[in-house]
Amino acid sequence: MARILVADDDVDIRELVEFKLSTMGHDITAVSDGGAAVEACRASRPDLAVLDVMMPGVSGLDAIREIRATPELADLPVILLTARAQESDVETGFDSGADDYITKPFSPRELAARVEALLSRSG
Amino acid sequence: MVVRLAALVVVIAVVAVLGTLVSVRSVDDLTGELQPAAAAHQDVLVDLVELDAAVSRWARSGDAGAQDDFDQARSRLDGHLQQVTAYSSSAAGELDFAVAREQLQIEQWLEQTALPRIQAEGGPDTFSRREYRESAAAFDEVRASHLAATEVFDELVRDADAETDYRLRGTIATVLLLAVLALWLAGRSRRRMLDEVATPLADLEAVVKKMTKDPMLRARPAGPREVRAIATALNELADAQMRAGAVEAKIQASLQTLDTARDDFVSNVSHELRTPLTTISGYLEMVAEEFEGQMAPRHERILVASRRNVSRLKALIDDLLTLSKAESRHSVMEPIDLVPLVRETVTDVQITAAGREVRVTLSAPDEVLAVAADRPMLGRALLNVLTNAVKFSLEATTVEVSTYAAGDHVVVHVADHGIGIPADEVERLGSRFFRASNAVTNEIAGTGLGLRIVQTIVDKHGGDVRIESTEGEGTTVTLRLPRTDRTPRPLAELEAEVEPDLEAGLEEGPERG
Repeated sequence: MARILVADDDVDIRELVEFKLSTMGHDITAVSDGGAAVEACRASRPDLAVLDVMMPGVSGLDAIREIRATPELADLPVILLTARAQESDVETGFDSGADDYITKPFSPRELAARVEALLSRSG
Repeated sequence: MVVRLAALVVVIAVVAVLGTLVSVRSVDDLTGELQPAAAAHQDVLVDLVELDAAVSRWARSGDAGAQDDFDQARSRLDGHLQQVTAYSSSAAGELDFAVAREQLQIEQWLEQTALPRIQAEGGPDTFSRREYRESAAAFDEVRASHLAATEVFDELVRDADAETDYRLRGTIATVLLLAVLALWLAGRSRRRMLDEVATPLADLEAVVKKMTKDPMLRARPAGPREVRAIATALNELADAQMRAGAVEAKIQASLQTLDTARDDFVSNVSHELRTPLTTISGYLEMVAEEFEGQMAPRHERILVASRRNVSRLKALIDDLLTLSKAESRHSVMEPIDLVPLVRETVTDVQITAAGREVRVTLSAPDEVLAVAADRPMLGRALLNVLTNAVKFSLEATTVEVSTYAAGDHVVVHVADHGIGIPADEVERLGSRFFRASNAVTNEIAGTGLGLRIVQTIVDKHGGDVRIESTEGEGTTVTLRLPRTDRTPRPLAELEAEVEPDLEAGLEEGPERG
C-alpha cells in the first residue's frame, strides 16, 4: 500500500494509470499539470510520482527539476511517461533526475511492474 | 605605343623619299641645265678657234673658202653664246659676270680684229707680221676670258656634284638614324609592355588565388586597358559567385528549417497518436487480464483481434517515425566497426528466432570493418533485415549472416530459407506499404515499411541493397557499404556517450548494478 501521485494532461491516460494502480491497492492522487503535481508533492509527500513529459505549462521535466530542488522531495522516486523513444529524450529524462521512464504506448502491466520495483527499492 | 612606332616608320619613309627626290632634283639640275650650258661654253671656244683659224687662212691665202668658214663659225658661235647666256643670266652672279666679260671680249675681238681682217683684202701680199702679232694677242685675251668663265663653270659643276653627294649621304644618314630610333623605341615599348602588362597580370593572379579563400576580396583594376577589363570581369564573377553563395545558404537554411519542422511534426503526430493508443491497448490488456479464462471463445476472439490490430498500429507508427528520421537530412556519420554492430543485432534477433526454432549463425572476420555510419540508424537497418529473415523463415531452418570486406566495400550478407518472394514482385520491394503477396496470404504481420527504411538508411550511408529471391526457397539480402580509412573509436567510448549516467553509476560502485 503506497501513496502515488499521477500527473497527465490526457484524462484517459490519467484514468488508465489511476485505474491500474488502484486495482493494485495503491492510494492515488491524480492531477492534470506539472504545477499542480509539484504543489501536491510539497503539500503531502507521496511515496512515488508518475509524471507525463508533455504537459502544458510546467512540463514533466520542469516538474522533476522543481521536485528535486525541494530538499524533502530530493529522493522521491519518479517515473516519466514519454511518447518519444528517442535516445536523446531518454537521456534528457535521466539528466533531469527521473528514476525510470516508460514509453507510450505502454502496457499497464509494465507500468505496474516498474512501480513495484521502484517502491521496493526505496521502501 | 604602337601608334608612335607606326608614325615613326611613316616619317622614315617620307624622309627617305624626300631625300631621294631632292638628290635626283640636284642631279637633274646638273644634267638638265648646268651641264649643257658648260658643254655649250666649250663649243664657244671651238667656234672661236675656228673663227681665228678662218681669219688667219684668209689673211695668208686669200682663199674665198675661209670667208665661208668664218660665216658658218660665226653663226654657230652666236647659237652657243645664246645658249650659255640663257643659263648664266639666270645663274649666280659670278658666272653671269664671267660670261658677260667673255662675251664683251668676244664682241671686241670680233669688232676690232676678226671682222676688219676678214673684210679686208686677203692674200699673201697683204700679210703683215705686225698685224698678225696684234691679232694673236687679241685672241689670247678672248681665250683668257673664256678660261676664266670655264673655271667658274667647272666650279659650279663641282659644287653641284658635291651637293648631290651631300644630299644623298644626308638622306642615308637620316634614314639610318631614324631606323635606329625606331629600333630603340620598339625595344623600349616592349619593355614597357612587359612592365605594364606582366606586372598587373601577376598581381591579378595573386588576387585570384586569394579570392578562393576570401570571397570578399576584389581585384584592383590597374595597368593597361586589357588587364583592367580582365580585373573588372573577375570582380563581376566574384560578385555573382557571392550572390549565388548567399542564395545557396538561404536555400540551405530554409531546407534546414523545413527539415526541423517536419521532424517536429512527425514527433508531435506520433505523440498524439500514441496517447489514445496507450489508453486503448492499456484497457484491452486489463480486460484480458481480469477476464482471463472467464470469457466465451467468441469474446476472446474479438479481444485478441483488437489487441493484434492495436499492436499493428503501434508498429506502423514506430516505422513511420523511423522512416521520417532516416529521410531527414541531418545525421552524424562517424567511423564505426561494423562487426560488433552485426554481432549485437544477431544476438537481438536470436531470442525471437529461437521461439520458431530458427537458428541464426554469424560468420565475421577478426579484422575491423570500418564504415562511416550513424550507428543507431545503421543498427536499425540491420535489425530490419534480420527480423525479416527470421520472420519469413520456415520453422527449424537457419538464417546465415556473414560480413566481410570486398575491395573498397564492406558487405553484410543475410540468407534465409523461407517463403521467398514471387519473382514478379521483387522489383516492387521497398515501395512504401508494399507487401509481398505470399506474406499477406500467410498472415505474416508487417507494415510494408521495413525494407523501405533499410533502403533509405543504406542510401544515406552511400551503399546499396540487393535482394535475390526464389519463391518457396528463400531470400538473400546483400548490403554493401563504402569502407572508410578512418579508425573507429572504441565501442566502450560510444556506449559511454549514449548512457553517461549508467556508466558513471557503474564506476561509483557495484551496488546499483
